[in-house]
Amino acid sequence: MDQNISEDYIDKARRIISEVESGNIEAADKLIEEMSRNRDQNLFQELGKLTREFHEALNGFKLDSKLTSLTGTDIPDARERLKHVIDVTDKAAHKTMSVVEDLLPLCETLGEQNGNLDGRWKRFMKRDMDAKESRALCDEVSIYFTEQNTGTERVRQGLNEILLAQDYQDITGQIISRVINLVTDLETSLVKLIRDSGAAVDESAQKGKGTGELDGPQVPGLESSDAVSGQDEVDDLLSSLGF
Amino acid sequence: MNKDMKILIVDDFSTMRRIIKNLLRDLGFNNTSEADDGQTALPMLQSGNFDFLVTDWNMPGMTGIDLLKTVRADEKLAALPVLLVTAEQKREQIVEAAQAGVNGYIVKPFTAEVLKEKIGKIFERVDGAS
Repeated sequence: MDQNISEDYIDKARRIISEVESGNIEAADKLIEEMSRNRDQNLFQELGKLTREFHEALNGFKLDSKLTSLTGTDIPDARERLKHVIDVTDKAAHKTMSVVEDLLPLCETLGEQNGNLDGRWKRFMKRDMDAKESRALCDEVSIYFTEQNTGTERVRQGLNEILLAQDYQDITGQIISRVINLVTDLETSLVKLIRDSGAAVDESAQKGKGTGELDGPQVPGLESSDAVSGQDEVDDLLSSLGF
Repeated sequence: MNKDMKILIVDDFSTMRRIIKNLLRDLGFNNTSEADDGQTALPMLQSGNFDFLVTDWNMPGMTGIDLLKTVRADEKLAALPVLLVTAEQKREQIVEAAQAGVNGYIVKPFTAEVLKEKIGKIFERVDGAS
């Protein structure tokens, strides 16, 4: 109870006793009436406070409904979006590798042709070749030019395909940015929910994973304290273990 | 080192399998097969006369470390050289792999040179021992 109210009660009670002792019953009745009026007033104040708290709780509930839409639709959406990122990057990587797998043998063939003709061409230039072989070489050089032309054209087309396959970065970048926004929204709602429900945040739970769990790829700025920084450190660690 | 040796590449991402396969081919190894996790890899190893295993660590089904442990515990497979190629780079994990008997450990992303060097080292030791 409020300090003022209890002082007021004590004061009134003393005055009631002294009025009753002096025989002024009417004055004592008046004081008692005053006291009960005060009590009613306090009751109304308490009721007002409760109403306000209830109103605030309802507002908090509205916030919870945001959490409901986040978990009900936005998170499943995000899951689909991220799956799409895996698909798109997978497709781009395979497309690039297909072109590379196609062009590498072509480059080898063109290189072999070069090497093959180079030797004979040098002999031809030194006039170290009879007429029959010279004619055959001339025919081969004609074919060689055509093949080099179609070959380099295929390389050019392939390089363009590889270039175009990199458009995944734009698409996945946009999708991932949206998911980052969603995670930020979710974080805000969750922090608010925790604060409103008055739950204490468990520090040890925040510290994260226990031992034995896989970390996956290290992300700049979020490196695990126990992680090595690259192949050189892996090699050092292994050699310290007798490898 | 025998360039015709039979190599099994295990990774749950087909792109990574394809990259390793291409790098191995560039190094002259053409006899490669693929599996997408330890569970599919194990029966292949048991029946396939493989000479070398290149595996990822984090895969659904059976992980690379479990595959390594299973291989080492299997009488017929125990001596198979195993190279881990993984994004896991916690000291604890590297030590665990070493204790489980891995022959080489490469962290992703890696270069063609690193792959070549590690394979060279593994078979230098294996060929030297036999």
